[in-house]
Amino acid sequence: MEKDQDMFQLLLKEKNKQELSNVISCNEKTGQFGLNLTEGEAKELMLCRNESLKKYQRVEFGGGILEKLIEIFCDSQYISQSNYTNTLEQLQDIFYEFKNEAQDLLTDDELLTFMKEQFEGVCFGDLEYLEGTCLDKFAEAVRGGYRGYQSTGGEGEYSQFDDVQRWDKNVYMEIVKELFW
Amino acid sequence: MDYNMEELLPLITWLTDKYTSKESTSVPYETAQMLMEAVLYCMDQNREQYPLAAEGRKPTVRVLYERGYDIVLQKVYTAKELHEQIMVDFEDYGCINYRETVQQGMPAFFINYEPRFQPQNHLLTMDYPLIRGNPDMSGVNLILEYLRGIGQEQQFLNCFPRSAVVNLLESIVPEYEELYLDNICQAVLLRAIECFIAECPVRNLTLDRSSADEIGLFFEDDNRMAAEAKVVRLIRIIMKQFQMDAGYFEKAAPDIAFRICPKRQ
Repeated sequence: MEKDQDMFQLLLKEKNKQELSNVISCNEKTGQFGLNLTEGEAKELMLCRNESLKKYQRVEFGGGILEKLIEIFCDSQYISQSNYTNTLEQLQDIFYEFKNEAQDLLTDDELLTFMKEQFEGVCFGDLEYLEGTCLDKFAEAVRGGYRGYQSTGGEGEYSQFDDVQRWDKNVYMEIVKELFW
Repeated sequence: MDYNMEELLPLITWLTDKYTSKESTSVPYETAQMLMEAVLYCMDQNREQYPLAAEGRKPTVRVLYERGYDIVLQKVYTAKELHEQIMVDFEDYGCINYRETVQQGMPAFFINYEPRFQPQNHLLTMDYPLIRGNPDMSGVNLILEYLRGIGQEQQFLNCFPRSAVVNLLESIVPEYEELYLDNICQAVLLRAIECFIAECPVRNLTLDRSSADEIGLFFEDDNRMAAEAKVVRLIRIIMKQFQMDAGYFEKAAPDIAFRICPKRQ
């Protein structure tokens, strides 16, 4: 077990060397959305990523998920420079959590697609709702044997699991009456 | 180890990419551990076959791994051939545990074994034990060694009429088909030795009334070591009569000696 820990530590060390420059280079693309990471912020994100990996007992190889996260979420209407680093930190933590929760049955792309769609849609940028409701329900369905995401790539999946009534005509009419009658 | 962890990392990364089809950048600890064991298992195969000292120049880790992987595959083919040979005239004597392990379980191994990602996992519990206990191995090494043992044991059992073996098993456990979980060969070899000592026909596997006294006399003054030595000699004589190599069966001597004269232990 100690030997395994050594291997995981070594992996992280090797990864960190390459990844910093890759993450910084993402600024070229995210700059058009007014989002930039300083070297310090990039290092902080990588530290948080390592913590999340440890927390969820996962090992990451190759390029890592951070660059993909940046690429997918950089055009979000709910992310600005002021919450950029913090949101990325939480997004990557949620990502690893739900890789586990879905028992590794979802590919990175399927999970990211689902996350981005809900983040922009039903969550309106609320990470707690994304984690505690949308992903929770989706992961539960995946664990229960649902495989529909394989053909959709994670797109348009949530509506079938969403049991929250988002439009109540009666409530709407009551409010309208109160305001205008 | 003849290699360090830094050298292994690219190989483990490559294998992980293959495992996830490059669709996941991370895997759980357990998966990473499984893949690392897979790499080490293959490299060990290579080391057994080509000791590094014998090679002029130190091969790369990737070369060692690929050669080891080829050896694993070769062992799977050898095991499959051996299993097919055993199945040609396989006799389970009605023993369910034996049949389920060898006849029904083994094909599942050949279907589900993953030499690339889990060569160390032999998948089967192999509930039917070999006469000298199941080897302390894993993966295809265990399966191959197990089948070699089963092959030799079948060859030995074939020296006796089916009815003699069935009667013997029935005398041990009346409902032996379901309840006999030990090695059949051990019971047969033990009885064959007893028959030999009591001068009863070995192939019949039956003793007469005076046999117990004769067997008792044969081991009368023996301590554990002496009894074992006598059993080894008897195994050699019996195997010679059947024109078989005694080496495999000799390792069962301590257990057989204990069963014949437990009071001396």
